[in-house]
Amino acid sequence: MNKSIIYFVIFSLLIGVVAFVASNNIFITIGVFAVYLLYFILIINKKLKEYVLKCERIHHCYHFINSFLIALSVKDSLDESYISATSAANGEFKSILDELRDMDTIEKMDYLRKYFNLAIYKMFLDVVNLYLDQGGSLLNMADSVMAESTRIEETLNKSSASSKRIFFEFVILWVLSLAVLLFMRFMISDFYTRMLNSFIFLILLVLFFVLILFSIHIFIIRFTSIYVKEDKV
Amino acid sequence: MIKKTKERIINLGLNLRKEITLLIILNVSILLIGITLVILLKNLLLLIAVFFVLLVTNYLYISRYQSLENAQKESNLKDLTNIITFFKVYLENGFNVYTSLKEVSEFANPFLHEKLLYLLHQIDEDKSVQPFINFAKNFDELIIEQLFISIYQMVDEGNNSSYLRQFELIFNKLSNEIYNNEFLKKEKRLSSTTMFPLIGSGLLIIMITIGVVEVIGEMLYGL
Repeated sequence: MNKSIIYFVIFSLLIGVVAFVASNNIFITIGVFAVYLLYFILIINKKLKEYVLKCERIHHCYHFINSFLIALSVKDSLDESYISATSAANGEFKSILDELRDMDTIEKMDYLRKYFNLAIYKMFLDVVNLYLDQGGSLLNMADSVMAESTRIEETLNKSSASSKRIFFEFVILWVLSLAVLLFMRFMISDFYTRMLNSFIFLILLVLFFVLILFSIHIFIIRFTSIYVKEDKV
Repeated sequence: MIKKTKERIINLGLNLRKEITLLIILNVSILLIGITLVILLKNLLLLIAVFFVLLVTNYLYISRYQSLENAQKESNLKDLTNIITFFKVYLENGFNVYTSLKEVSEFANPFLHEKLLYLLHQIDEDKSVQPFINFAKNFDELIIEQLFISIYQMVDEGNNSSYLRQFELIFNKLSNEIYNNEFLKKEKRLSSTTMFPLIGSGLLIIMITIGVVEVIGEMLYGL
């Protein structure tokens, strides 16, 4: 089973347990558990996977462009530069490169345009083509492309570090909120049990769990948004 | 305000008639649902809620044009920085400003493509800095004007290396600013989600208050 699915099941179970302790109602518990689990598996799982994949592609693209250009300016050979730029490849990128083994270097580079799907890669290809057609100083010609790809990489790194910090703040604040709910449940146990007889109280309790889910949804949408111009392949 | 909204819809490339029809359908649907609820629940006070829903819906519907317009402006600015990156590549490879602009117009989105062609047309007729300033007016950022003045200086003085350096400096500043703004925007949007746990805590307080009032009411009056 996928590792992330196990985390989602554990988290949904935890929320389900809190819902049971707070509501004493098996229907609310099952409802909360089922909605959370389905939402995580069907929506969040997909979104996070896409995000991770996109980040990996941006990192690979940055390393590929820089290594390739530097190698080409030194060795002046497409094949050698390609080998040099892909020597440190790993994960999904490596398996893609393995599939391209039979193609020639130009074809491989063109194919990678589909894989990276980034405007900067298209720009890189144009510069390389321009260099092959007309010659000149490659590093001067590719200066803007290298600067732009560095800016993209730096922004992504900075953004993912700050997103992680805000994620912890978000989790801590929700844990505190849930702690308040559990504290009430156990410290004013008799009174709380009487309050559970109120229909409005139960509705608001369900609303509380809906609010948590909604906030997670908004957080994930914002967390996974990346500004990098994509290629219109 | 109506005239401005109309202009916005047209500038966004949306169909004015379709937008008006959608808005009318939305309003009529809310009114019908509201009137049905008023008749079924026999409560005239619901009309206030219907009026409130209508007001909010119309406001949200119309204000989305402003958001769309801002998004389009942002997208155009990002496209321009990409185009300028290409432009630099051509300049560094010995093309002159006019040819470089012509070449990069092929990579531009329809909006920029049209504006760049118009700029080239204006350059043919007017050799002053004015066509460049007119082009920069398509963007709100003052730095774009600075950037295009530096491009004009390259036309006027030839691809002199000092003008190229000046242009590079301005362009790097612009590009850094765009990426930094993107980073800050994302950080701000993410930070604002920490208000949800606070809303949750508020909801808990309301829950307790209602629960306590109900229990006390039950104890006192046996409700």
